[in-house]
Amino acid sequence: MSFTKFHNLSNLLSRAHELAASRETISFDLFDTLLIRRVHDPDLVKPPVARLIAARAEERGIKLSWQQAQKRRDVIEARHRALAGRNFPDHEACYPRFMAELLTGIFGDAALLDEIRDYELFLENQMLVPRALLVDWLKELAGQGKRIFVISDVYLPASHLEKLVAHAGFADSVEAVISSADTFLAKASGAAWPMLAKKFGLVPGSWLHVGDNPVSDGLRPAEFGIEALVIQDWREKFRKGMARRYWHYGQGRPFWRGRALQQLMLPLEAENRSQPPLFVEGCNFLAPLIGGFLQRVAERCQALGIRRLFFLSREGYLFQQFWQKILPALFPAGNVPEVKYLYVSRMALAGAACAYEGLKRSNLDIAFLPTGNRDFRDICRIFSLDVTELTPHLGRYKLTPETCLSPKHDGYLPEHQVLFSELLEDDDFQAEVRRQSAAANTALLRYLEDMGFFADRRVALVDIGWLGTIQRYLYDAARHRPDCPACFGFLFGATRGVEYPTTPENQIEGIIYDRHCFDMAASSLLYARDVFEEACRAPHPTLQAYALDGDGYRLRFRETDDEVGQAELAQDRYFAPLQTGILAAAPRFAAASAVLGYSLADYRPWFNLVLIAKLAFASTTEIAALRQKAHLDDFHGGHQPKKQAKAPSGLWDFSLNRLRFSPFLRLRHFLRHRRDRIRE
Amino acid sequence: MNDMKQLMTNRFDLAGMSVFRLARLSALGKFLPLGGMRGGPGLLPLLLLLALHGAGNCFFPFAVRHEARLHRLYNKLRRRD
Repeated sequence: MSFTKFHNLSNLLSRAHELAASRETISFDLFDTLLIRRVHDPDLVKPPVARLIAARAEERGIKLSWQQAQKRRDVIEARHRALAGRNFPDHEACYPRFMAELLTGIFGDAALLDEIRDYELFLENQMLVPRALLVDWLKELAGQGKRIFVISDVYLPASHLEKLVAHAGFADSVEAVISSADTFLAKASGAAWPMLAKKFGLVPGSWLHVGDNPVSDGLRPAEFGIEALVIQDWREKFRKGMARRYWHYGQGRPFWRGRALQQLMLPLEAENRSQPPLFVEGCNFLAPLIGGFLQRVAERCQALGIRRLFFLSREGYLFQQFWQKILPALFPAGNVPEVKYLYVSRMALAGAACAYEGLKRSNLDIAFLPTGNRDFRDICRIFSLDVTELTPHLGRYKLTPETCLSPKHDGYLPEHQVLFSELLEDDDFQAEVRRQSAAANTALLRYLEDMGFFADRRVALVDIGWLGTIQRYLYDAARHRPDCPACFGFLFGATRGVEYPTTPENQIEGIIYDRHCFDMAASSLLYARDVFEEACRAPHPTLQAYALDGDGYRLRFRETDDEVGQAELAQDRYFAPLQTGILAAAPRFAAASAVLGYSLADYRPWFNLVLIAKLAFASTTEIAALRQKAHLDDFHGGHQPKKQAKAPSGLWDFSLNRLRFSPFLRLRHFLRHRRDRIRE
Repeated sequence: MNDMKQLMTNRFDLAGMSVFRLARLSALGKFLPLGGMRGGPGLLPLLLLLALHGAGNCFFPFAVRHEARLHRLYNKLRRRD
């Protein structure tokens, strides 16, 4: 009997349907038949496992690099195969045996075997995708009462393959999973077929086999009298060829590493459904950036020995969810900080920050950054101060609550700044400010104690950006305590518009973009910061204040029943597909990054190009989809600045018609953006 | 629902950030410094990827059917070099 080769799946299934009608037994090859791989080379799953072994060795004080661990594994496996080849026709190996020998050689015992095996199978599951049409047909056959077997020539025993099959969702339809690792009789030599016929009572004439290898799944079963169908799918060849090419280019040219990451992240088979445009942007644009950001944060925490990390509201909400999804694949050895979500906001912290430091000049510079803030009433609104109690103090310096303190507004005089600076040095004024802020500060400190903020010497604070204001106020509010930890802020983007008071105990670092690093390409982030804020924001209102509640504290959130609150809720619903897309891509990012062994430094050239493409040269459709509609900023006052003080319109502020029809608009803005960055 | 689309195109490319978009930006980058790309994509890899993504749906059905012959031809050409 000969076998039949098919070059596309639909032709194979047509023929297979006809043949299966008269067959009792249908068997399938597993890898590249029922399950396809995201990577072109199955051996790419091994280096992450070697890295886990090396990490465990380091914990025990054993000097072993992951490359050495991998080499040892290869040598041991090759020896096992050679030994098997002396007694059996196939040179097969059995995973638990050679891994146990490897681990015993390194650690003295094989106690870690279960952990290593579980991680390797976890990664395999992340890299394997069920071939939808074939699996559906398999389930249909099982429903018709056919005997279904899965047969594979692989070093993983059947007990391990059953886990892969169960994860793929068709274990219930399969009578048995057979692996050459258990018997050392493989399909490749033909020895498996008579063994299976005898073991399960199968008749070759009533047996159909489907696989991808012309010899193992075609020639050998045909020699035994089994009807064999071999699939050599040109679409699979195309897909794997592209994955291999991107991986190969990434080995030589750093630019392609990020692109290789995204190629491995792509959904396959049933995963690749039609989705809304925002979901696509979430998966293909934002998810890799956020993944690279969080991977880098974890690496920095490991390097700094930080064991406690706080994701700051509200953008930290999505960061935390993404973090939980990437941990199992990227950091299997653990050694990452314990994470918590901290309810904070600039408005809530501003008031609490004044309880010990008083009103500082640097904090006021931040308060007057929004063009809508004009006078002392805006300061009182931001820092939750009672203007009535403070008005007499202003009067002593010939100031009123309505005196213009911002040069961006009409009525400003330089003398106002001089007088106000003198006011800031007035002890009675500062004493009143501290008195008014004491309650909020006490409530904040109780909340921080509850959250374990003071439990470690160092903490990491993760936020979207942009000035590090939240960390500035948080540190000011807590620094008087002897147990105040050193705060390491990791921002998605650090614009540093106002100088941050960096000390060894209080510092910030921009991960994707940091103005101090002069990364022209990454500065494209500045085109549409709101996009990232909207993408990551939590579906709860902003925190307004910390309040005392007896011996405890209460977090007071903004009401959502006013016009602005309702607009924000509507915007949350609009951006929900974007967040869903980001989180859906998170596990695929983690698995791809673990397999490739790269980190943010490798992805950065590609990420830089994506930022330029999607922000500086975004299409009108992309801008229309991603542009925020209503951005709540309680920090911003309602005053209208002078015309010349208004910030010039950015690319993302223009009307759709202007974006579509204005010639060279993006190029002109790009050149202006470059000029502004150089001038900075 | 007319604007629904898949994350991966029919050419196994990224939806929204295709190799064609990359090529346009790379061409712009020849005249205008775009920023840190660590050497950029390189002309040959970019051209090959453009050809594969663009013509792969025509090329691969042929390549798979005649894989053995193409492989022999490739080895012959390599030996000649």
